Amino acid sequence: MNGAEFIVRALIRQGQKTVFGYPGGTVLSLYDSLYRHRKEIRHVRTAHEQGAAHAADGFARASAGIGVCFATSGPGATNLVTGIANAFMDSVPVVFITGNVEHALIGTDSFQEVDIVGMTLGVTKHSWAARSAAMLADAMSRAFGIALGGRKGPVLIDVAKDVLEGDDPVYGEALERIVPYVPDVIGAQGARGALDTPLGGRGECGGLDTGVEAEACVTAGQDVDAGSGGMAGQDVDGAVRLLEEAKRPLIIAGGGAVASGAGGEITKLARKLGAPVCHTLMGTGLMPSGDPLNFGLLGQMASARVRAASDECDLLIVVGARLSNKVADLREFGASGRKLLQIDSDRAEINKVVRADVYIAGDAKAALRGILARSGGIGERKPWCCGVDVRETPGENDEIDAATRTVKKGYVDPADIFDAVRRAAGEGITVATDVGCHQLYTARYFRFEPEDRFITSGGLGTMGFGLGAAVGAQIAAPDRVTVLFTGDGSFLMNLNELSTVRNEGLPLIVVVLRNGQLGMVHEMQRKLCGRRYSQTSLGMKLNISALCRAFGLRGARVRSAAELEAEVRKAVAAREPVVIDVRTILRGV
Amino acid sequence: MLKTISILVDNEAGVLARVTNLFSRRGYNIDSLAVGTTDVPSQSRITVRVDCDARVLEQIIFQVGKLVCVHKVKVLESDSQVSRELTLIKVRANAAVRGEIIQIAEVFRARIIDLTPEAMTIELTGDGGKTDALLDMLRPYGVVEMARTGIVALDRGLASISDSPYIFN
Ligand SMILES: Cc1ncc(C[n+]2csc(CCOP(=O)(O)OP(=O)(O)O)c2C)c(N)n1
Ligand SMILES: [Mg+2]
Repeated sequence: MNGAEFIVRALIRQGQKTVFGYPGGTVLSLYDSLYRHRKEIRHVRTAHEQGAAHAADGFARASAGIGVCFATSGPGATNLVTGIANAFMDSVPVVFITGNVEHALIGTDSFQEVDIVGMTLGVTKHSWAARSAAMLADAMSRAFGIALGGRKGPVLIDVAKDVLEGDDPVYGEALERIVPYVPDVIGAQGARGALDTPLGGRGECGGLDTGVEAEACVTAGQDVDAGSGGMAGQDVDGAVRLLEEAKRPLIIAGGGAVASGAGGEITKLARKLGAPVCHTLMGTGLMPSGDPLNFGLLGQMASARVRAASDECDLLIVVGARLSNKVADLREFGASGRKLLQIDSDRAEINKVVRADVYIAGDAKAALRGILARSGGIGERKPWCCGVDVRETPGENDEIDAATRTVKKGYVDPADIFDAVRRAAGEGITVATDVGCHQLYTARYFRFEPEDRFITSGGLGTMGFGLGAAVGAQIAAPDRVTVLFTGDGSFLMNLNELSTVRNEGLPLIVVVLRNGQLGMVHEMQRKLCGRRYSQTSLGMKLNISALCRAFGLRGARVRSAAELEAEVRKAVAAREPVVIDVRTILRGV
Repeated sequence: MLKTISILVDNEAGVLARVTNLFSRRGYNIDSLAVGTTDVPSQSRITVRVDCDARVLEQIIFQVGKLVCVHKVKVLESDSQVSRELTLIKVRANAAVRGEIIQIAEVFRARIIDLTPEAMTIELTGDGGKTDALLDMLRPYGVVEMARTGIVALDRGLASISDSPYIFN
């Protein structure tokens, strides 16, 4: 068996049935093996490697599994870089496999040779330059575990052409040892999944009813200064004590909560504590929009009640959120005398920007279960929430009140766009976005139902992510209605993947929120550059329907919410793809 | 505050690049760095001295700990470590000044390891502080070039990186 055959068989053995990618000279043998195994493993060839990378990313998110993506050396590999960085920033498990030139040629600037491992050091969890059969065997047997363990993320295996092509006995044994990866729920770090001993936390946290073993510590006022374990370990009781003491707790849910499937636990805890829940962009859709305790999106588009809740709370419970500069107001937290309870599977996130009073470094779902199991002493509390009776608070959508909605003829207000799609697409759908105003609008105003899934580029903010990601998501969950909300700028970046939609027969619904602008940057220019709109106007000349026709897809221009709803209904009923061009005004962010 | 951090890593190609890449992309300031193999052939030890506060130190420990090639991290306390750095300094030295330079070297307990009619190379081992002082003394004679290894350090007594609380992959 050669290296290529080993890779494909190892993927099959690990239960991977789908791979995205693009062929080339150095991966000829890999594609030859894929051909041989075409009945066991589906390879989706995209139009561009970036699309393949985003598709593998979207696939991983939608399947709660892992994405796999192949590319050839040189330009094939460099075309992946944005996709790798995107997966890294959003902690998405993807195994990227690239070919490289023969190992004897490496370092000689040979044709299509790049140091892809070096280029992606800062945006991979780990990577391998497999220059021998033994190295490839080792890489393949660890890649899945590392990508999925603890805080998830992408890994890269770069394989020299001769290693892919050469037969070697190590592959047979290595294959025997490869078994489907079972995620370790404790997972705080790296390959082994758990951070066993640092800070002595593990032992002291044992014996939870749920069998959780997370590292939980109180750090208030302490220093890591020492190698002597300067932070005292404590169990989940420290967290429970904070909850008991808090009068006005506020839960912040991020991508880590979504990745761990902790929506149910967060909802339970919120109800028990009477705590409102706000979410980061990556935490969108974790709780249904209609839940009265779901206050909505944090950051620049935060509603008045989100701002009030974060101003008035006395305890922040941050679950799987990195408190990036996009939620800057929360970073000021330390000085206010209010408390912070932090739960994150990545120990390095703890205390990174704000010092936690108590933290649990471990899987969000497991940690929350542990807390819930021990918080019997906390009676059910009434929601606090800033004098607003939350049960009376209508859904976020209603905040765009009718009077301010777009009236321009032929244009549809974003709120009406979301309502129309919501009605027509049914429940339990996948919603993907691109990057820009339309993205924040979707996170803020789309009414998520319990079984929906939201996929967006949060950390890197990659325009052009949407179509590839939606392709991957649709393939991961073929029976789900998948809707992509994209902007006219983002759509233009990677619309080549319409050919993949067509080739793979995907019933994807693409809604282009067309404002004729690179809206988000246009908005910045309005505010920060004295309305000098430099290079942010797109115009309305592009004929999207004609474009789609050229790809063999249906494109439709709609002029009202009713027309939009009818188009979506038609597409859902026929299980056929459609690209809907809807003109709209995105009112700034 | 200068901190000495020991990092036990896989003795493999590319490991140093991963560690230094992390330091540079996250903006941690390396004051000194030394790498070498250990008594365990599969492992190397990286000793870094970093100027940082307690918050950044904690970040360094756990960000470094996420690298798959990293096994253990230990912060060596300044009062319970022994540390050494080796420096080679080549200085212009004709017959007229040779004697003076040898005297200076003796004061610093440095050794002369190479001597030609025009130049002399001095080897100094110390905990880092002496190096700058010796250099200052030699400058007037004309320093041709110098090289230093970076600081390596170990705990005093039986304590070692094995008892570090920061154990990773
Ligand atoms: C690849 C990439 N290039 C540039 C940007 C900067 N950027 C952020 S939003 C945006 C405008 C997006 O325009 P559009 O897709 O039409 O969305 P809108 O804001 O109009 O809804 C730009 C240029 C980016 N995020 N990604
Ligand atoms: Mg736009």
